[in-house]
Amino acid sequence: MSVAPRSTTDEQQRYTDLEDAALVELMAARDPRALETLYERHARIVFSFAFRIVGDPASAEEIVQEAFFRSWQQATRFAEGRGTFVTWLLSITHNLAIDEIRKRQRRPQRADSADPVLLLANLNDPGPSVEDSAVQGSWRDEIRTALEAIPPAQREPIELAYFSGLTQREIADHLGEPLGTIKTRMRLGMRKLRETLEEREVGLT
Amino acid sequence: MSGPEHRTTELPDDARSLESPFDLDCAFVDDNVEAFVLRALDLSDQQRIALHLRWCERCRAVASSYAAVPRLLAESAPLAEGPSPEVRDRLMDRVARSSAVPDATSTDAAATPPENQPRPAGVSRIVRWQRRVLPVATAVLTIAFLIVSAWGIGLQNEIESLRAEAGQPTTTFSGQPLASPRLFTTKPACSGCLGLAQLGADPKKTTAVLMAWGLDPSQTHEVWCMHENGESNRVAVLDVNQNGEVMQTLSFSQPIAGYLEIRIVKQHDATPELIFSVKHDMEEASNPIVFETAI
Repeated sequence: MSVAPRSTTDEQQRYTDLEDAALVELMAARDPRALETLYERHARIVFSFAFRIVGDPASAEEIVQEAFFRSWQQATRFAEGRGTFVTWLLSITHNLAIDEIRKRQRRPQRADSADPVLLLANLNDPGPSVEDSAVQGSWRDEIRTALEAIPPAQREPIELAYFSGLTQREIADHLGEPLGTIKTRMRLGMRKLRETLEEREVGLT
Repeated sequence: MSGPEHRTTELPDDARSLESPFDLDCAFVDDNVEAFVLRALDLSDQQRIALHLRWCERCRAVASSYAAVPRLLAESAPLAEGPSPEVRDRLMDRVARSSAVPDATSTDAAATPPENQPRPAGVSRIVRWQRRVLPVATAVLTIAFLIVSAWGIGLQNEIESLRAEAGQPTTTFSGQPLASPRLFTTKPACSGCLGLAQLGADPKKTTAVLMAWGLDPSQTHEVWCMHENGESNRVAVLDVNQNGEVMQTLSFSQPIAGYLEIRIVKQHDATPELIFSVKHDMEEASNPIVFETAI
């Protein structure tokens, strides 16, 4: 949380010094300054993630706006405890971005509220350290290294599922591989990703 | 690997009946947990596992070992420059506009004399529904259904008229007008359940309008339909507002008359909170519309 404040006034500094959880509580009490502070802190990460999925900046910006607006609307629900704010925000962003590309491709919307991220959010949540810009670079390097350590044949189904919103069946059709092969590759890739990240101690315990 | 020995979270019998159709083996979770975390399963399997994880601690522990992976994948995206400043301005404008909408609850609070003794929350809610919200909402829902019903019948007449003009037989019309709209009302599923809901629907149709009050806004609520053969499936997640109220259109996979019950449950607690006894109500009364008496 070392992002520089937008101004040096005491009022702004007071908000900037607050942690995410405190800002979410203020947001639940309908304090727009809290939302503004969270936006300044996380908009870049959210935009980067949305852009990675939808591929064009205009759509990514719309998703950023919508994701933060939903966090504003649903702040009271989050306050009940659903992991960290970043995890929640990225999950909202993921759902919006995947819906957007499925809509473009005229594929049915998933519309499942059984979001595993939210379901498991309070378990093994990596915590808020990611928003610290001082460690962001190395954090991302660690993640990318872990991903690159997975054989491409196993990484591809994972990325198609997560960043393109494809089901295993859709991935099998897309790659022209048997469904069983895709399932096996995805399972092996995820296990390796988990093991690699555990070894590198980047958040999974 | 069998399931039951791992299920350490005890649920009441009624809740278990909700789970029964999804009584999948833990081995299924073991085989699919990675795809589940990536949301790469077909929707039905995704929902089956999600339901299973809510009460199977063993499988929840397995899934939780992957819980951080989606966020790490999210943060593997190359860091871009960030959105343009206009996005922030648009967001804050939108927030300001949404905040400018008058809040009925604040008016309530202002109208309460300070010398009044605070009433228990449950009593306060009930009084509020009875005196103001319920009559108005019931009237709105009833009028909406009458309009939709009239529109449906009118549309059929218009189509038949056009077909008659074109010399086509009218017997090929396959749609059904809203001939028998009904208003179903819930009964509480437990002594401490203070909510109330009404469902406006033509039992022969697969869509309905739900209105509910007195739900816990800190909880996520879901609508489940129960079949006579014991099967059940989730219909929707309710978007409950901060006052515990919701009005939402629901789409079912079959005509509503075919269900034994429709339930409103808390997402992380399978115990039913409110129940529409569809079959019972259909058998008990044959009047096309049941108007609730406002108090």
